[in-house]
Formats: sequence, C-alpha cells, structure tokens
Amino acid sequence: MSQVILRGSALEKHYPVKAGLFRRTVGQVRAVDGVDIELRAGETLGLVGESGCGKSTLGRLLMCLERPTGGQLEILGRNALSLDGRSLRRLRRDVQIVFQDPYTSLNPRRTVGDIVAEPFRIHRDVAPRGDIRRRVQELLDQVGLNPEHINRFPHQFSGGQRQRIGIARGIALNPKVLICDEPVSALDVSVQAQVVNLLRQLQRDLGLAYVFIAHDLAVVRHISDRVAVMYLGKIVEQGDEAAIYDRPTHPYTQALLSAVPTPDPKSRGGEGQIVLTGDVPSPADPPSGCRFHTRCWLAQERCSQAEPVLEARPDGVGLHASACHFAAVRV
Amino acid sequence: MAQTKHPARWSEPVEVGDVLLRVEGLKVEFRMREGVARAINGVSFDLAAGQSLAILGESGSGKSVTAQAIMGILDSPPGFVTAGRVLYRGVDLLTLPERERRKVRGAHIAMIFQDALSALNPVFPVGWQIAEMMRVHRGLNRSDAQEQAIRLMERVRIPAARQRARAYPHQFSGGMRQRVMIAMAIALDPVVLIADEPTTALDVTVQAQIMRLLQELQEERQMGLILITHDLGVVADVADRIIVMYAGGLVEEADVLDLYDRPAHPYSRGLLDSIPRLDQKGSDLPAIGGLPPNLLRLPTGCAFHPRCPVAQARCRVDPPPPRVELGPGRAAACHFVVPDADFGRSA
Repeated sequence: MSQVILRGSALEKHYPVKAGLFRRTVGQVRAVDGVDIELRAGETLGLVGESGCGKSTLGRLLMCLERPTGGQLEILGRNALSLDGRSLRRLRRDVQIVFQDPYTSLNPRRTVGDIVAEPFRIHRDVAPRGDIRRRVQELLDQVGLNPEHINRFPHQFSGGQRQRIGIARGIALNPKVLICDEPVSALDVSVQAQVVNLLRQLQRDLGLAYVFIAHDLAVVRHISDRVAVMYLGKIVEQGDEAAIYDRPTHPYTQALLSAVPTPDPKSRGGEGQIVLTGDVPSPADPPSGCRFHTRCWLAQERCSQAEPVLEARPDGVGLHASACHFAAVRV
Repeated sequence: MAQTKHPARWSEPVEVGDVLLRVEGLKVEFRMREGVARAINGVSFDLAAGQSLAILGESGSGKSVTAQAIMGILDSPPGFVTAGRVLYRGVDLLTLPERERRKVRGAHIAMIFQDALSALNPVFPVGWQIAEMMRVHRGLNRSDAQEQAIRLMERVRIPAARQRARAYPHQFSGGMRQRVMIAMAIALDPVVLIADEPTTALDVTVQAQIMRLLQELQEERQMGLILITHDLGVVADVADRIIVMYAGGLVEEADVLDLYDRPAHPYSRGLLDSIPRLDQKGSDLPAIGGLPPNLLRLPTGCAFHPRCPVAQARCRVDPPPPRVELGPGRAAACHFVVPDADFGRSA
C-alpha cells in the first residue's frame, strides 16, 4: 500500500457566532467536528455530503488555508500546524487546490499567462524566470488549452475552459495532492465529462492524489478509490468506493444514494426509495447523540443519547467504517 | 380584442388529454450591442392536460427562454419574439394585450423559478406574499387571503404553517423556500405549471422531496407540467415526454422510455453516454468533444456539426430538416436519422 501523505486526526474547525453590541461569542458553528482522515499517494479520496456538512471546510483545513481549532494535521510526515511561515509555504507547494467556481476564482483583469504563472512568482526557486512562459505554455497544453491563448483574459473562455485554467494553476508546482472542491459542479453535463476525464488523465500522468469534494454522487464514484460521507461536520461512513456505493451500512448514506435520480426511466416508481423528511439541522446546534437521529427512520432511544463511533463494521462482504449503532446493509 | 370570448372558453373544465398549450415555430432573438443572439430558432411542441413534458438542454440551449416566452416575461428589450405562436387552449397569447396576458399569468399558467431566494420579496412575510396572489387575482380580503395562504402552506407540507406564514424568506431553508414558491404557483389553481430548474439549487435529499411534491400536485390537479432541466436523472424520474434542445433548436422529441432506450439524435446520444452513473464505475467517460456554440455566431448548417461524431460535409452546409418523423410522437432534427430504422445505441 502506498505511503500516507496527508493525515488529519480529530480535526476540528469551530467558528464563533458573535452577537450583540460587544460582539460576544454566543455559540460555535461546528463546521468540522472531529474528523480522522488519511490520503495515500496517488489515490483519490471522494468527500461527499450535502451543503453545510463541512466538506469544503475540511478541504481547506487539509491544505492549511484555515487553521483547525483542534486536532492534528500531518502533511508528508511533518506536523503542518507547528511550522513557521517559510516552511509552511514550502510545504504548500505539495498541496494545491482547484476551486468550484471558474468565474470568481480567476482574476478577470489578468491574462491566463499571469494567472497560471502566479505560483512560480510565489515559489521563485521552482522555475528560472526566463523559463516561466515556456512552462506556462506547457501547462496550458497539458490541460487541453491552446498554448497560444496565453495572452487572453478569463472572460474569453467558456466555463469548462476556465476550469482547465484553474487546473493548470493547480498543477503548476507539481504538487503531490490536489484538493478539488466541486470542480465540475458549475459545468454543463457535456463539458463536465471532459473535465473529469482530464483529471483522471493528469492523475495517471503525474501520480497526483486527489481529495475530490462534490455533492454529485455519481461523479464521485466515477473518480474515487475511497469515499468518505459527511453529515454535520462528521464522517459517518468511509470505505472503498464499492463498499460505500454497493453495500452502504449507514442509513444516511443509504438515503443519500437512494435520493439520486437514476437516468433510466425504467427504474422509476421509487420502490425502495427513501425520502428523508426535514432539512439538515444547524451545525451551530447539532442534535445530541447520533447527529442523524432526527431524520433517521431506524432511530431508537439510544441514538439520541450515545454517539456512535466510526469503526469497522460488517457489510456482508467485509468490513468498512460506519458510525451507526444499527449499521447494516439494507435489504 | 376578444375580451369576453376567450375567458369563457377557458373556464370550461379541462379533460385529461386536452391540448393545453401548443407552441408553433417560436423564434426569439436578443438584440444586443455585440450582435443578434438567436436564442430560439423555431421550436414547436404540444402539452396535454395531465402530461409532464421535460425540456432538456444545457446552458444557452434556449430552454429557459422558451419558458419566458410562454409566460410573457421575456426581458424586452433585448429579447424579442420574432415568429411563432403560443396557443393556450386555442388562443394565441402572443397577440393578447398586456392587460389580458396578466390575467393568464398565475391563474392559468404559473411558473416556479430556480432561485427561490431571489424570486421572493425579502421584506414581506411569506404568508403575505402568497396571500397577495389571492388578494390581487381573486379580490379576497386580507384575513381570508391569509387563511388561504396558510392552507396552501400546509398543502406543500411546510411544518407549523400558521407560525411560519409570518416568517421572512431568509428564515427558511432552501427546500422550504422552494415549497413557498410552489404554494404561490398553485395558489390560483393553474392549468399549466412551468418549473424552471426547480431543484437545481437543492441538495439531493431535498430534491427528492420537492420532485415528489410536484408530481403529487400534478396528479391531484391534472395540471400540464413543463419541467425545464439539465438533469437527465430528474427527467427520467418524472417526465412522460421529452424535448431536447441544443443551441436554440429542438433536436429531438420523444417519449421518455424511447429517448433513454434509443436516442435518435447524435446529441441526445452523446449526452446520455457522457453522464457518470451511480451503479457503474467505468473508465473514461465518452464525452462530447468541443463546446456549445456562441449564439451570436451559430455554425452554418447543423448547429451541432462541429461536435458531432457522425457529421458529414452536408451537415456543415445544409441545416437539417426541422422534424424528421420517426414514428408516433417521435421526431429528430438530423440529416442522418431514418424513420423506422433501428437507431439503437449499440451502433
């Protein structure tokens, strides 16, 4: 098994809620609330969950864009939370990010060449100054853009092409990890497939590891080796792609998967479809015990009192991690 | 104007199968500084009572503009309907004066928008906004209208409707806001309901709730439903019939089973092949190459030819026949579809 290059233990990110005249802290939004996570070299870890579940915050924690309020973070074997600015910057070279919105994540007043060259200007020792332009053109070519368009501005490109620009910027420094935060959600279906294919291609060519954050479960399955499902700041189920999609044992994962409309009218009718009632509770005031118990159809008294541990539980074929007192494959 | 004639006809009860809406050769263009964008180039279809029709397309395909033209809420200028008719139970809405048209909106044809937060007024309680429909169109007094609004909120299953009626839009979650929009849309018992990407901004578990609610309401009231979406999964779940749009044109029209089984137009086929599936872990996705065209500079011939895997010289020059009939209720706009042939995906 390949080496672990990213390891978060008991990661927490609580944001204070301030109110009143003196902006006193009146509560905490528990965006990420005790997450253990590992990423191995060259693999893709999918992170799924509904809006507000903390998946994007977790992504930002993993690359030190935000400082966790608790827990440990190890990047390439080094404790990322104790590093000084210089060493952290050096380390960041290996963990880069691609953002969701290709419209707001590119500066409209700078050329594509400037945007993709930015990482080289920050990390000056990576490429000699005279080499930058050539290197940028190589990168554009690598992501399927015309290298001659180096002097164009972002508005001259379509959404899919802009996302390619964001990817070129993300891989410029030859990182080992690329955090992809909803990289295809803003794209049209026909273009989405092109970008997903590009990401797979780059992974094969460069040996990149991805943390792939998305709410589209089908896309995540397509690209991921392992998948973690989040609900209200916690991972509720984690395992190999096949275990999560074919043998989910957590009721939330089961509901999530069954809610995805299948692009096949013959499977209509929804027998076996679970329609959850209610909305996701507020992360500022999560339910006691198991956080899912307010929407769970299996919930018993115990679920509102004791929080289930995320641990390996049988799924009929083997074991994979699930945080439910009554974890079982649904028949 | 036939001011007294058509409302009489419209007050007759609707029977299942009646054609409610007939769009014929609709063309819309946007005249802008950069040039003329041909957003819709001759779209025709029918909608029957009790039927769910999905308009499927990507951004820029003209699916939302079609809905806006039917509703008469096109931004004009720059948008202009340059040809075609929109017949609502026999009356061409495009020829009605604005005063008459206003009576059609909401009462006969209602619409649900994608972004409920910007479609609702932030400074009024939601109950008040739903009640406004009844006050303006039905002339109810304040308290009766408020009661009706609460009943509608209960119908769309907003919990504690009486209290929530006094809340403001920002106090609702995305799913609940969309329920408010639906309550508003069905307030006047419309005959046709147009839903423009009603669940695109919502999470999947909430999406499932909202789609279920829409289906239920449609069956209960036998409305004609037009569902505008880019999501092939949602379409497969609820639609009876589908029209597929590309670059302002209708490329294929079919029953839902036929379209997913045997898509006739290369674009529909490419679209279906390019989506990742939940129950499959494949290698690379068979993506459609290239990009959707710029509406200011549509390609010559068939608008899809630069991305089409089967395009021939002729596709670059001749526009495809707008409707090659392929059987009952099936048509496609392509030079290379053949009636009654086995245009299977296996090929």
